[in-house]
Amino acid sequence: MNRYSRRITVWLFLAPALAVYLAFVVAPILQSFFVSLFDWPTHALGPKRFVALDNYVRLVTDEVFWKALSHNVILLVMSLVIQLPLALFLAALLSGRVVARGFFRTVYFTPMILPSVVIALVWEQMYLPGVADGLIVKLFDSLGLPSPENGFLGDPRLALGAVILTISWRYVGFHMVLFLAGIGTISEDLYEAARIDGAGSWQLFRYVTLPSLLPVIRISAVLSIVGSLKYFDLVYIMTKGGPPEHVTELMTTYMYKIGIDQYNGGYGSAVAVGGFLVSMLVVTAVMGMRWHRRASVAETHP
Amino acid sequence: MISRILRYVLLLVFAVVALYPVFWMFTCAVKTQAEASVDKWGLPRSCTWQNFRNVLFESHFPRYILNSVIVTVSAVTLTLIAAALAGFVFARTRFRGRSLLFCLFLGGMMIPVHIVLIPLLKIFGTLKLYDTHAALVMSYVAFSLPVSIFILRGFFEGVPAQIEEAARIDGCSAPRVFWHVMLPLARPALAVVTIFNFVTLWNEFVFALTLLHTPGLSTIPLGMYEFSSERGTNVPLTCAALSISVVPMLLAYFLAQKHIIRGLTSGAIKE
Repeated sequence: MNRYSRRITVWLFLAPALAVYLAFVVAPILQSFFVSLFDWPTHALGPKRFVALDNYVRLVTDEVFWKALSHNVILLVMSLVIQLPLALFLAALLSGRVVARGFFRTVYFTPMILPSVVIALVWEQMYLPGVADGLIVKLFDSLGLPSPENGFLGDPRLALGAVILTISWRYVGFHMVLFLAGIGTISEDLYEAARIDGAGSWQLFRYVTLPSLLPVIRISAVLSIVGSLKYFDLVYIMTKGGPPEHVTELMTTYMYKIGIDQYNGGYGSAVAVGGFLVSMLVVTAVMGMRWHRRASVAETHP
Repeated sequence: MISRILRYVLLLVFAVVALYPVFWMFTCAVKTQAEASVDKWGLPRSCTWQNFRNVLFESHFPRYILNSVIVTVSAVTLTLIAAALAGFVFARTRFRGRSLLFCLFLGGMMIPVHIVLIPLLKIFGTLKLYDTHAALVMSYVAFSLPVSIFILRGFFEGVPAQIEEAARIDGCSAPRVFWHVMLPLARPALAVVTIFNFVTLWNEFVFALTLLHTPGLSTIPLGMYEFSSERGTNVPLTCAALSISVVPMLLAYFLAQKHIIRGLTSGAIKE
Protein backbone atom coordinates (compact mmCIF):
# COMPACT_ATOMS: atom_id res chain seq x y z
CA MET A 1 0.00 0.00 0.00
CA ASN A 2 1.41 3.38 -0.90
CA ARG A 3 2.05 6.15 1.61
CA TYR A 4 -0.67 8.41 0.34
CA SER A 5 -3.48 5.93 0.84
CA ARG A 6 -1.99 4.90 4.19
CA ARG A 7 -2.24 8.44 5.40
CA ILE A 8 -5.83 8.61 4.24
CA THR A 9 -6.58 5.41 6.14
CA VAL A 10 -5.08 6.84 9.33
CA TRP A 11 -7.25 9.93 9.19
CA LEU A 12 -10.35 7.96 8.22
CA PHE A 13 -9.85 5.80 11.31
CA LEU A 14 -9.35 8.86 13.50
CA ALA A 15 -12.15 10.93 12.00
CA PRO A 16 -15.18 9.79 14.06
CA ALA A 17 -13.47 10.12 17.45
CA LEU A 18 -11.73 13.34 16.53
CA ALA A 19 -14.85 15.00 15.13
CA VAL A 20 -17.01 14.27 18.17
CA TYR A 21 -14.24 15.16 20.61
CA LEU A 22 -13.38 18.44 18.91
CA ALA A 23 -17.02 19.46 18.58
CA PHE A 24 -18.25 18.60 22.06
CA VAL A 25 -15.18 18.82 24.31
CA VAL A 26 -12.45 20.97 22.81
CA ALA A 27 -14.62 23.62 21.15
CA PRO A 28 -16.82 24.13 24.24
CA ILE A 29 -13.75 24.58 26.46
CA LEU A 30 -12.36 27.25 24.15
CA GLN A 31 -15.79 28.82 23.95
CA SER A 32 -16.01 29.00 27.74
CA PHE A 33 -12.86 31.12 27.80
CA PHE A 34 -14.32 33.34 25.08
CA VAL A 35 -17.78 33.70 26.61
CA SER A 36 -16.33 34.56 30.01
CA LEU A 37 -15.29 37.91 28.52
CA PHE A 38 -18.93 38.87 27.92
CA ASP A 39 -21.97 39.87 29.85
CA TRP A 40 -24.35 37.25 28.54
CA PRO A 41 -27.78 36.53 29.96
CA THR A 42 -28.47 33.16 28.35
CA HIS A 43 -32.26 33.18 28.72
CA ALA A 44 -32.64 36.27 26.55
CA LEU A 45 -31.64 36.03 22.91
CA GLY A 46 -30.33 39.57 23.08
CA PRO A 47 -26.79 40.51 22.09
CA LYS A 48 -23.83 39.73 24.28
CA ARG A 49 -21.93 42.69 25.60
CA PHE A 50 -18.12 42.59 25.64
CA VAL A 51 -16.87 43.40 29.15
CA ALA A 52 -13.23 42.27 28.83
CA LEU A 53 -11.97 40.99 32.17
CA ASP A 54 -14.82 42.35 34.31
CA ASN A 55 -16.10 38.86 35.10
CA TYR A 56 -12.67 37.86 36.38
CA VAL A 57 -12.38 40.99 38.51
CA ARG A 58 -15.70 39.97 40.00
CA LEU A 59 -14.48 36.38 40.40
CA VAL A 60 -11.36 37.17 42.44
CA THR A 61 -13.37 39.42 44.73
CA ASP A 62 -16.27 36.96 45.00
CA GLU A 63 -16.28 35.58 48.54
CA VAL A 64 -18.55 32.71 47.58
CA PHE A 65 -16.10 31.48 44.95
CA TRP A 66 -13.25 31.44 47.49
CA LYS A 67 -15.48 29.75 50.00
CA ALA A 68 -16.40 27.13 47.40
CA LEU A 69 -12.73 26.63 46.54
CA SER A 70 -11.91 26.17 50.23
CA HIS A 71 -14.63 23.50 50.46
CA ASN A 72 -13.08 21.70 47.50
CA VAL A 73 -9.75 21.78 49.31
CA ILE A 74 -11.36 20.44 52.50
CA LEU A 75 -13.03 17.68 50.49
CA LEU A 76 -9.69 16.89 48.84
CA VAL A 77 -7.79 16.68 52.13
CA MET A 78 -10.52 14.72 53.89
CA SER A 79 -10.73 12.27 51.00
CA LEU A 80 -7.01 11.61 51.28
CA VAL A 81 -7.15 11.39 55.07
CA ILE A 82 -10.30 9.27 55.42
CA GLN A 83 -10.71 7.24 52.25
CA LEU A 84 -7.19 6.08 51.54
CA PRO A 85 -6.20 4.88 55.04
CA LEU A 86 -9.58 3.20 55.53
CA ALA A 87 -9.32 1.55 52.12
CA LEU A 88 -5.80 0.41 52.96
CA PHE A 89 -7.01 -0.98 56.28
CA LEU A 90 -9.83 -2.92 54.60
CA ALA A 91 -7.48 -4.23 51.92
CA ALA A 92 -5.07 -5.40 54.62
CA LEU A 93 -7.92 -7.11 56.48
CA LEU A 94 -8.93 -8.86 53.29
CA SER A 95 -5.48 -9.95 52.19
CA GLY A 96 -4.05 -13.28 53.21
CA ARG A 97 -6.31 -16.25 53.68
CA VAL A 98 -9.80 -14.91 54.27
CA VAL A 99 -12.96 -16.95 53.92
CA ALA A 100 -15.45 -15.30 51.54
CA ARG A 101 -12.99 -12.65 50.39
CA GLY A 102 -14.80 -12.32 47.06
CA PHE A 103 -18.05 -11.71 48.93
CA PHE A 104 -16.59 -8.88 51.02
CA ARG A 105 -14.90 -7.32 48.03
CA THR A 106 -18.18 -7.35 46.12
CA VAL A 107 -20.06 -5.85 49.07
CA TYR A 108 -17.57 -3.04 49.71
CA PHE A 109 -17.57 -2.08 46.04
CA THR A 110 -21.38 -1.96 45.75
CA PRO A 111 -21.76 1.81 46.45
CA MET A 112 -19.68 2.46 43.31
CA ILE A 113 -22.29 0.99 40.98
CA LEU A 114 -25.24 2.87 42.46
CA PRO A 115 -26.34 6.12 40.81
CA SER A 116 -25.48 9.19 42.89
CA VAL A 117 -29.14 10.21 42.90
CA VAL A 118 -30.09 7.06 44.80
CA ILE A 119 -27.23 7.46 47.27
CA ALA A 120 -28.09 11.10 47.86
CA LEU A 121 -31.79 10.50 48.46
CA VAL A 122 -31.25 7.59 50.85
CA TRP A 123 -28.55 9.38 52.87
CA GLU A 124 -30.75 12.48 53.04
CA GLN A 125 -33.30 10.37 54.88
CA MET A 126 -30.67 9.11 57.28
CA TYR A 127 -29.60 12.66 58.14
CA LEU A 128 -33.17 13.91 58.69
CA PRO A 129 -34.38 15.24 62.01
CA GLY A 130 -37.94 15.17 63.32
CA VAL A 131 -40.73 12.73 63.97
CA ALA A 132 -39.17 9.65 62.48
CA ASP A 133 -35.59 10.61 63.26
CA GLY A 134 -32.94 9.73 60.72
CA LEU A 135 -30.70 6.81 61.45
CA ILE A 136 -27.57 8.81 62.08
CA VAL A 137 -29.47 11.24 64.30
CA LYS A 138 -30.67 8.22 66.31
CA LEU A 139 -27.17 6.85 66.48
CA PHE A 140 -25.97 10.15 67.92
CA ASP A 141 -28.80 10.17 70.44
CA SER A 142 -28.09 6.65 71.61
CA LEU A 143 -24.44 7.61 72.14
CA GLY A 144 -25.63 10.54 74.23
CA LEU A 145 -24.30 13.07 71.74
CA PRO A 146 -26.41 16.11 70.95
CA SER A 147 -27.78 15.80 67.45
CA PRO A 148 -28.57 18.90 65.44
CA GLU A 149 -32.11 20.25 65.58
CA ASN A 150 -32.48 20.60 61.84
CA GLY A 151 -30.74 17.38 60.94
CA PHE A 152 -27.17 17.02 59.80
CA LEU A 153 -27.70 18.54 56.38
CA GLY A 154 -29.66 21.43 57.87
CA ASP A 155 -26.94 22.46 60.30
CA PRO A 156 -24.40 24.94 58.87
CA ARG A 157 -21.59 23.55 61.03
CA LEU A 158 -22.19 19.90 60.20
CA ALA A 159 -23.53 19.86 56.64
CA LEU A 160 -20.16 19.80 54.91
CA GLY A 161 -18.91 17.01 57.17
CA ALA A 162 -22.08 15.01 56.53
CA VAL A 163 -21.71 15.37 52.78
CA ILE A 164 -18.05 14.36 52.95
CA LEU A 165 -18.98 11.30 55.01
CA THR A 166 -21.40 10.16 52.30
CA ILE A 167 -18.84 10.78 49.56
CA SER A 168 -16.24 8.77 51.51
CA TRP A 169 -18.72 5.95 52.06
CA ARG A 170 -19.15 5.77 48.32
CA TYR A 171 -15.50 5.70 47.24
CA VAL A 172 -13.71 3.69 49.96
CA GLY A 173 -14.58 0.40 48.25
CA PHE A 174 -13.13 1.61 44.97
CA HIS A 175 -9.75 2.44 46.49
CA MET A 176 -9.83 -0.80 48.46
CA VAL A 177 -10.20 -2.80 45.26
CA LEU A 178 -7.22 -0.96 43.75
CA PHE A 179 -5.12 -1.73 46.84
CA LEU A 180 -6.25 -5.33 46.94
CA ALA A 181 -5.21 -5.77 43.32
CA GLY A 182 -1.87 -4.17 44.18
CA ILE A 183 -1.34 -6.51 47.13
CA GLY A 184 -2.12 -9.43 44.83
CA THR A 185 0.91 -8.59 42.70
CA ILE A 186 3.38 -8.59 45.61
CA SER A 187 5.57 -11.66 45.44
CA GLU A 188 4.95 -14.24 48.17
CA ASP A 189 8.76 -14.64 48.39
CA LEU A 190 9.06 -11.18 49.94
CA TYR A 191 6.70 -12.14 52.74
CA GLU A 192 8.43 -15.48 53.16
CA ALA A 193 11.81 -13.82 53.49
CA ALA A 194 10.48 -11.30 56.01
CA ARG A 195 8.84 -14.06 58.03
CA ILE A 196 12.10 -15.96 58.18
CA ASP A 197 13.67 -12.79 59.52
CA GLY A 198 11.06 -12.91 62.27
CA ALA A 199 8.68 -10.17 61.13
CA GLY A 200 5.24 -10.06 62.78
CA SER A 201 2.09 -9.25 60.87
CA TRP A 202 2.31 -5.49 61.55
CA GLN A 203 5.93 -5.50 60.40
CA LEU A 204 4.98 -7.46 57.31
CA PHE A 205 2.42 -4.80 56.50
CA ARG A 206 4.71 -1.86 57.35
CA TYR A 207 7.89 -3.08 55.63
CA VAL A 208 6.64 -5.28 52.79
CA THR A 209 3.05 -4.43 51.84
CA LEU A 210 3.13 -0.67 52.27
CA PRO A 211 6.33 0.07 50.28
CA SER A 212 5.27 -2.26 47.48
CA LEU A 213 1.91 -0.53 47.31
CA LEU A 214 3.31 2.99 46.93
CA PRO A 215 2.72 3.21 43.16
CA VAL A 216 -0.92 2.14 43.61
CA ILE A 217 -1.39 4.52 46.53
CA ARG A 218 -0.08 7.30 44.33
CA ILE A 219 -2.64 6.45 41.63
CA SER A 220 -5.39 6.43 44.24
CA ALA A 221 -4.24 9.80 45.55
CA VAL A 222 -4.19 11.33 42.07
CA LEU A 223 -7.69 10.01 41.30
CA SER A 224 -8.91 11.30 44.65
CA ILE A 225 -7.41 14.74 44.09
CA VAL A 226 -8.72 15.10 40.55
CA GLY A 227 -12.13 13.82 41.64
CA SER A 228 -12.40 16.17 44.63
CA LEU A 229 -11.74 19.24 42.52
CA LYS A 230 -14.47 18.42 40.04
CA TYR A 231 -16.97 16.89 42.46
CA PHE A 232 -20.62 17.75 41.93
CA ASP A 233 -23.36 15.10 42.09
CA LEU A 234 -23.97 14.23 45.74
CA VAL A 235 -23.52 17.80 46.94
CA TYR A 236 -25.86 19.28 44.35
CA ILE A 237 -28.59 16.73 45.04
CA MET A 238 -28.28 16.64 48.84
CA THR A 239 -27.80 20.30 49.73
CA LYS A 240 -27.67 22.37 46.53
CA GLY A 241 -24.66 24.05 48.16
CA GLY A 242 -26.69 25.13 51.21
CA PRO A 243 -28.19 25.15 53.76
CA PRO A 244 -28.14 28.91 53.56
CA GLU A 245 -24.97 30.83 52.94
CA HIS A 246 -23.16 28.34 50.73
CA VAL A 247 -21.83 26.19 53.58
CA THR A 248 -21.42 23.18 51.28
CA GLU A 249 -20.91 25.10 48.03
CA LEU A 250 -18.30 23.63 45.69
CA MET A 251 -16.80 25.32 42.63
CA THR A 252 -18.95 23.18 40.35
CA THR A 253 -22.23 23.68 42.21
CA TYR A 254 -21.61 27.42 42.30
CA MET A 255 -20.90 27.46 38.59
CA TYR A 256 -24.06 25.47 37.93
CA LYS A 257 -26.20 27.85 39.97
CA ILE A 258 -24.85 30.96 38.28
CA GLY A 259 -24.41 29.71 34.75
CA ILE A 260 -27.32 27.30 34.30
CA ASP A 261 -29.95 27.91 36.99
CA GLN A 262 -29.60 31.71 36.92
CA TYR A 263 -28.81 31.96 33.18
CA ASN A 264 -25.77 34.15 33.77
CA GLY A 265 -23.67 32.68 30.94
CA GLY A 266 -20.83 35.19 31.12
CA TYR A 267 -20.06 35.13 34.81
CA GLY A 268 -20.95 31.42 35.01
CA SER A 269 -18.28 30.76 32.39
CA ALA A 270 -15.77 32.80 34.36
CA VAL A 271 -16.50 30.64 37.43
CA ALA A 272 -16.14 27.52 35.27
CA VAL A 273 -12.84 28.74 33.84
CA GLY A 274 -11.65 29.54 37.37
CA GLY A 275 -12.43 26.00 38.51
CA PHE A 276 -10.84 24.58 35.38
CA LEU A 277 -7.61 26.51 35.91
CA VAL A 278 -7.40 25.48 39.57
CA SER A 279 -7.90 21.83 38.58
CA MET A 280 -5.31 21.96 35.83
CA LEU A 281 -2.81 23.70 38.12
CA VAL A 282 -3.18 21.07 40.82
CA VAL A 283 -3.10 18.18 38.34
CA THR A 284 0.08 19.55 36.76
CA ALA A 285 1.64 20.02 40.19
CA VAL A 286 0.74 16.49 41.26
CA MET A 287 2.12 15.01 38.05
CA GLY A 288 5.26 17.09 38.51
CA MET A 289 5.63 15.75 42.02
CA ARG A 290 5.58 12.22 40.68
CA TRP A 291 8.44 12.98 38.34
CA HIS A 292 10.38 14.72 41.04
CA ARG A 293 9.97 11.75 43.31
CA ARG A 294 11.17 9.35 40.67
CA ALA A 295 14.18 11.57 40.02
CA SER A 296 15.11 11.68 43.69
CA VAL A 297 14.83 7.91 44.00
CA ALA A 298 17.16 7.60 41.03
CA GLU A 299 19.63 9.94 42.70
CA THR A 300 19.76 8.10 46.01
CA HIS A 301 19.95 4.69 44.36
CA PRO A 302 22.30 5.11 41.41
CA MET B 1 -7.38 -17.01 66.95
CA ILE B 2 -8.67 -13.89 68.65
CA SER B 3 -7.17 -11.75 65.92
CA ARG B 4 -8.90 -13.94 63.34
CA ILE B 5 -12.25 -13.45 65.03
CA LEU B 6 -11.62 -9.73 65.36
CA ARG B 7 -10.80 -9.60 61.67
CA TYR B 8 -14.13 -11.16 60.68
CA VAL B 9 -16.05 -8.98 63.12
CA LEU B 10 -14.51 -5.88 61.54
CA LEU B 11 -15.12 -7.16 58.03
CA LEU B 12 -18.77 -7.82 58.86
CA VAL B 13 -19.23 -4.41 60.48
CA PHE B 14 -17.94 -2.70 57.36
CA ALA B 15 -20.09 -4.94 55.18
CA VAL B 16 -23.16 -3.83 57.13
CA VAL B 17 -22.14 -0.18 56.79
CA ALA B 18 -21.64 -0.61 53.04
CA LEU B 19 -24.96 -2.33 52.42
CA TYR B 20 -27.24 -0.80 55.05
CA PRO B 21 -28.51 2.16 53.01
CA VAL B 22 -29.50 -0.13 50.14
CA PHE B 23 -31.02 -2.66 52.52
CA TRP B 24 -33.08 0.03 54.25
CA MET B 25 -34.27 1.33 50.89
CA PHE B 26 -35.72 -2.08 50.04
CA THR B 27 -37.33 -2.59 53.45
CA CYS B 28 -38.90 0.85 53.40
CA ALA B 29 -40.27 0.28 49.91
CA VAL B 30 -42.63 -2.46 51.12
CA LYS B 31 -44.07 -0.37 53.96
CA THR B 32 -47.30 1.57 53.77
CA GLN B 33 -47.02 5.31 54.14
CA ALA B 34 -48.81 5.06 57.48
CA GLU B 35 -46.31 2.57 58.83
CA ALA B 36 -43.31 4.54 57.56
CA SER B 37 -44.49 7.74 59.19
CA VAL B 38 -44.50 6.00 62.57
CA ASP B 39 -41.57 3.66 62.13
CA LYS B 40 -39.30 4.46 59.23
CA TRP B 41 -36.24 2.49 60.32
CA GLY B 42 -37.53 -0.76 61.76
CA LEU B 43 -38.09 -3.91 59.76
CA PRO B 44 -41.44 -3.87 57.95
CA ARG B 45 -44.27 -5.45 59.91
CA SER B 46 -46.20 -6.29 56.81
CA CYS B 47 -45.32 -6.33 53.17
CA THR B 48 -47.18 -4.35 50.54
CA TRP B 49 -46.40 -4.28 46.84
CA GLN B 50 -48.67 -1.31 46.26
CA ASN B 51 -45.74 1.14 46.10
CA PHE B 52 -44.08 -0.85 43.36
CA ARG B 53 -47.34 -1.10 41.49
CA ASN B 54 -47.84 2.65 41.72
CA VAL B 55 -44.36 3.35 40.44
CA LEU B 56 -44.59 0.92 37.55
CA PHE B 57 -48.13 1.65 36.41
CA GLU B 58 -48.88 5.18 37.51
CA SER B 59 -45.73 7.16 36.82
CA HIS B 60 -43.33 7.93 34.01
CA PHE B 61 -41.05 5.25 35.34
CA PRO B 62 -41.23 2.65 32.54
CA ARG B 63 -40.51 5.53 30.16
CA TYR B 64 -37.37 6.45 32.13
CA ILE B 65 -36.10 2.90 31.85
CA LEU B 66 -36.67 2.89 28.11
CA ASN B 67 -34.95 6.28 27.78
CA SER B 68 -31.95 5.09 29.76
CA VAL B 69 -31.66 1.98 27.60
CA ILE B 70 -31.87 3.99 24.36
CA VAL B 71 -29.35 6.62 25.44
CA THR B 72 -26.87 4.30 27.13
CA VAL B 73 -26.84 1.62 24.46
CA SER B 74 -26.38 4.12 21.63
CA ALA B 75 -23.67 6.04 23.44
CA VAL B 76 -21.77 2.90 24.46
CA THR B 77 -21.94 1.46 20.94
CA LEU B 78 -20.83 4.64 19.19
CA THR B 79 -18.01 5.16 21.69
CA LEU B 80 -16.82 1.61 21.21
CA ILE B 81 -16.61 1.97 17.43
CA ALA B 82 -14.91 5.37 17.43
CA ALA B 83 -12.51 4.47 20.27
CA ALA B 84 -11.48 1.14 18.75
CA LEU B 85 -10.64 2.80 15.44
CA ALA B 86 -8.69 5.60 17.11
CA GLY B 87 -6.99 3.32 19.64
CA PHE B 88 -5.80 1.07 16.83
CA VAL B 89 -4.33 3.98 14.87
CA PHE B 90 -2.62 5.45 17.94
CA ALA B 91 -1.09 2.10 18.81
CA ARG B 92 -0.08 0.68 15.43
CA THR B 93 0.73 3.47 13.02
CA ARG B 94 3.07 6.40 12.90
CA PHE B 95 1.98 9.74 11.58
CA ARG B 96 2.79 13.36 12.14
CA GLY B 97 1.08 14.84 15.21
CA ARG B 98 0.32 11.45 16.73
CA SER B 99 1.54 12.15 20.24
CA LEU B 100 0.07 15.64 20.21
CA LEU B 101 -3.35 14.28 19.29
CA PHE B 102 -3.09 11.50 21.82
CA CYS B 103 -2.28 14.02 24.57
CA LEU B 104 -5.28 16.05 23.48
CA PHE B 105 -7.48 13.02 24.15
CA LEU B 106 -5.68 12.16 27.39
CA GLY B 107 -6.35 15.66 28.71
CA GLY B 108 -10.04 14.84 28.51
CA MET B 109 -9.69 12.46 31.45
CA MET B 110 -8.61 15.28 33.74
CA ILE B 111 -10.93 18.14 32.88
CA PRO B 112 -13.97 18.98 34.99
CA VAL B 113 -17.01 18.47 32.77
CA HIS B 114 -18.63 21.64 34.08
CA ILE B 115 -16.57 23.88 31.88
CA VAL B 116 -18.41 22.61 28.80
CA LEU B 117 -21.98 22.81 30.07
CA ILE B 118 -22.84 26.40 29.18
CA PRO B 119 -21.27 26.24 25.69
CA LEU B 120 -22.89 22.85 25.06
CA LEU B 121 -26.30 24.32 25.82
CA LYS B 122 -25.58 26.98 23.26
CA ILE B 123 -24.19 24.57 20.67
CA PHE B 124 -27.12 22.18 20.96
CA GLY B 125 -29.47 25.15 20.88
CA THR B 126 -27.99 26.22 17.56
CA LEU B 127 -28.15 22.67 16.21
CA LYS B 128 -31.81 22.48 17.35
CA LEU B 129 -30.83 19.49 19.47
CA TYR B 130 -31.44 20.92 22.93
CA ASP B 131 -33.77 18.65 24.89
CA THR B 132 -33.17 15.59 22.68
CA HIS B 133 -31.58 12.24 23.34
CA ALA B 134 -29.20 12.92 20.46
CA ALA B 135 -27.60 15.79 22.39
CA LEU B 136 -27.13 13.58 25.42
CA VAL B 137 -25.68 10.74 23.34
CA MET B 138 -23.20 13.04 21.57
CA SER B 139 -21.99 14.48 24.88
CA TYR B 140 -21.68 11.01 26.40
CA VAL B 141 -19.66 9.74 23.45
CA ALA B 142 -17.36 12.77 23.55
CA PHE B 143 -16.66 12.36 27.27
CA SER B 144 -16.28 8.58 27.17
CA LEU B 145 -13.73 8.67 24.36
CA PRO B 146 -10.58 9.58 26.36
CA VAL B 147 -10.64 6.63 28.78
CA SER B 148 -11.87 4.25 26.10
CA ILE B 149 -9.13 5.21 23.62
CA PHE B 150 -6.58 5.01 26.41
CA ILE B 151 -7.55 1.47 27.41
CA LEU B 152 -7.83 0.21 23.83
CA ARG B 153 -4.58 1.77 22.70
CA GLY B 154 -2.87 0.06 25.64
CA PHE B 155 -4.30 -3.25 24.51
CA PHE B 156 -3.43 -2.88 20.82
CA GLU B 157 0.12 -1.92 21.71
CA GLY B 158 0.49 -5.25 23.48
CA VAL B 159 -0.44 -7.31 20.43
CA PRO B 160 2.77 -8.82 19.00
CA ALA B 161 3.87 -7.17 15.76
CA GLN B 162 4.30 -10.58 14.07
CA ILE B 163 0.56 -11.16 14.05
CA GLU B 164 -0.05 -7.96 12.14
CA GLU B 165 2.92 -8.59 9.82
CA ALA B 166 1.70 -12.07 9.00
CA ALA B 167 -1.69 -10.69 8.04
CA ARG B 168 -0.06 -7.96 5.98
CA ILE B 169 2.07 -10.49 4.09
CA ASP B 170 -1.11 -12.42 3.32
CA GLY B 171 -2.27 -9.24 1.61
CA CYS B 172 -4.51 -7.70 4.26
CA SER B 173 -5.00 -3.93 4.10
CA ALA B 174 -5.05 -1.87 7.27
CA PRO B 175 -8.85 -1.88 7.56
CA ARG B 176 -8.92 -5.65 7.09
CA VAL B 177 -6.16 -6.20 9.64
CA PHE B 178 -8.18 -4.11 12.02
CA TRP B 179 -11.47 -5.88 11.38
CA HIS B 180 -10.38 -9.51 10.96
CA VAL B 181 -7.30 -9.71 13.17
CA MET B 182 -7.21 -6.99 15.80
CA LEU B 183 -10.85 -6.69 16.81
CA PRO B 184 -11.35 -10.39 17.56
CA LEU B 185 -8.13 -10.34 19.61
CA ALA B 186 -9.28 -7.25 21.48
CA ARG B 187 -12.45 -8.79 22.86
CA PRO B 188 -11.37 -8.61 26.53
CA ALA B 189 -10.39 -4.94 26.20
CA LEU B 190 -13.61 -4.16 24.35
CA ALA B 191 -15.53 -5.79 27.20
CA VAL B 192 -13.73 -3.66 29.77
CA VAL B 193 -14.49 -0.47 27.85
CA THR B 194 -18.13 -1.46 27.34
CA ILE B 195 -18.67 -2.21 31.02
CA PHE B 196 -16.92 0.93 32.19
CA ASN B 197 -18.94 3.17 29.89
CA PHE B 198 -22.18 1.35 30.49
CA VAL B 199 -22.09 1.69 34.28
CA THR B 200 -20.86 5.29 34.15
CA LEU B 201 -23.43 6.45 31.61
CA TRP B 202 -26.33 4.47 33.05
CA ASN B 203 -25.81 6.43 36.30
CA GLU B 204 -24.86 9.78 34.74
CA PHE B 205 -26.65 12.82 36.14
CA VAL B 206 -25.18 16.27 35.29
CA PHE B 207 -25.45 16.12 31.50
CA ALA B 208 -28.99 14.76 31.68
CA LEU B 209 -29.95 17.48 34.16
CA THR B 210 -28.54 20.17 31.89
CA LEU B 211 -29.44 18.99 28.41
CA LEU B 212 -32.92 17.55 28.93
CA HIS B 213 -36.01 19.51 29.79
CA THR B 214 -39.13 17.51 28.86
CA PRO B 215 -39.95 15.08 31.72
CA GLY B 216 -40.86 12.32 29.24
CA LEU B 217 -37.27 12.28 27.98
CA SER B 218 -35.56 11.79 31.36
CA THR B 219 -33.13 8.99 31.95
CA ILE B 220 -33.44 7.01 35.19
CA PRO B 221 -31.16 9.17 37.39
CA LEU B 222 -32.78 12.41 36.23
CA GLY B 223 -36.23 10.82 36.50
CA MET B 224 -35.47 9.80 40.08
CA TYR B 225 -34.40 13.32 40.88
CA GLU B 226 -37.64 14.75 39.50
CA PHE B 227 -39.72 12.00 41.08
CA SER B 228 -38.30 12.81 44.51
CA SER B 229 -38.91 16.52 44.19
CA GLU B 230 -42.53 15.88 43.22
CA ARG B 231 -43.41 13.02 45.53
CA GLY B 232 -40.44 12.91 47.91
CA THR B 233 -42.72 13.37 50.93
CA ASN B 234 -44.04 9.87 50.31
CA VAL B 235 -40.92 8.08 51.49
CA PRO B 236 -41.97 4.45 50.84
CA LEU B 237 -43.09 5.33 47.33
CA THR B 238 -39.78 7.07 46.63
CA CYS B 239 -37.92 4.08 48.04
CA ALA B 240 -39.89 1.78 45.76
CA ALA B 241 -38.92 3.90 42.77
CA LEU B 242 -35.27 3.99 43.84
CA SER B 243 -35.32 0.22 44.39
CA ILE B 244 -36.70 -0.48 40.95
CA SER B 245 -34.11 1.84 39.46
CA VAL B 246 -31.15 0.00 40.98
CA VAL B 247 -32.36 -3.59 40.64
CA PRO B 248 -31.17 -4.19 37.05
CA MET B 249 -27.69 -2.86 37.81
CA LEU B 250 -27.46 -4.73 41.13
CA LEU B 251 -28.48 -7.98 39.44
CA ALA B 252 -25.92 -7.51 36.70
CA TYR B 253 -23.34 -6.65 39.35
CA PHE B 254 -23.91 -9.73 41.49
CA LEU B 255 -23.91 -11.98 38.44
CA ALA B 256 -20.77 -10.54 36.91
CA GLN B 257 -19.07 -8.72 39.79
CA LYS B 258 -15.59 -9.80 38.76
CA HIS B 259 -15.94 -8.29 35.30
CA ILE B 260 -17.70 -5.18 36.50
CA ILE B 261 -15.13 -4.45 39.20
CA ARG B 262 -12.34 -4.97 36.69
CA GLY B 263 -14.11 -2.83 34.15
CA LEU B 264 -14.55 0.03 36.58
CA THR B 265 -11.00 -0.02 37.92
CA SER B 266 -8.84 -0.94 34.96
CA GLY B 267 -8.77 2.56 33.51
CA ALA B 268 -7.19 3.59 36.79
CA ILE B 269 -4.70 0.77 37.17
CA LYS B 270 -3.26 1.15 33.70
CA GLU B 271 -2.50 4.81 34.25
